[in-house]
Amino acid sequence: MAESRAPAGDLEGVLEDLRSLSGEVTSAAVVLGSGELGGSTLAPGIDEQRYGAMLAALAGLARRTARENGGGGFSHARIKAAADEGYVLLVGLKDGATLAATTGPEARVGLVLYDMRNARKEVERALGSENGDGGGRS
Amino acid sequence: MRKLLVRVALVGAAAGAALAIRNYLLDGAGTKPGDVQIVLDDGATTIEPDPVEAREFADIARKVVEAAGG
Repeated sequence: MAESRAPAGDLEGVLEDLRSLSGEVTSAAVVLGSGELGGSTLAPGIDEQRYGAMLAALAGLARRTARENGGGGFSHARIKAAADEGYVLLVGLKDGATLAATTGPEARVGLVLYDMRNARKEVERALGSENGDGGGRS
Repeated sequence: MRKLLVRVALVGAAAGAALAIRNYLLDGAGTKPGDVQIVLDDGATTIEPDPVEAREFADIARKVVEAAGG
């Protein structure tokens, strides 16, 4: 059984495109508004549930911080991992979903964020087509 | 000879302590300004969480990066 996995297929293709476009991206994923992992480029054998849960926690924290500072949500976020291990980059999507990517410590994060923001529409389209519809805002 | 051994032991202890402090600082230090940046949905406002919150972000991010790396 597929456990708590939601839409995949086309979405994973878009995420793979993003990863190959930007060689500095070590993984890319979409966390749905419900907190489930919508799709990812994780290699087999990696604990997707753990990865997804932590990404959901990070996205939730970013959303809460944005709201506490007067925003309705976040457009994007850049988080340098403790002990200089790399970066986690988040881009807010429709319906509370989040596009996330991890990079190494030397990555040009501005460029990766640019690629992620360019991929946003395509990710939302893939999410919409796999959900039947993509309407609404976060 | 004994004096030399004592000195070598002292230098070793000092090097060990320095390494331990370095690891502690790398692992446990707070985040630096700019380590966590959130751009609000207006696209123009950039905020940085307070140090405690930023530390929380950085710790979770570290686990995410580690998990992604296998």
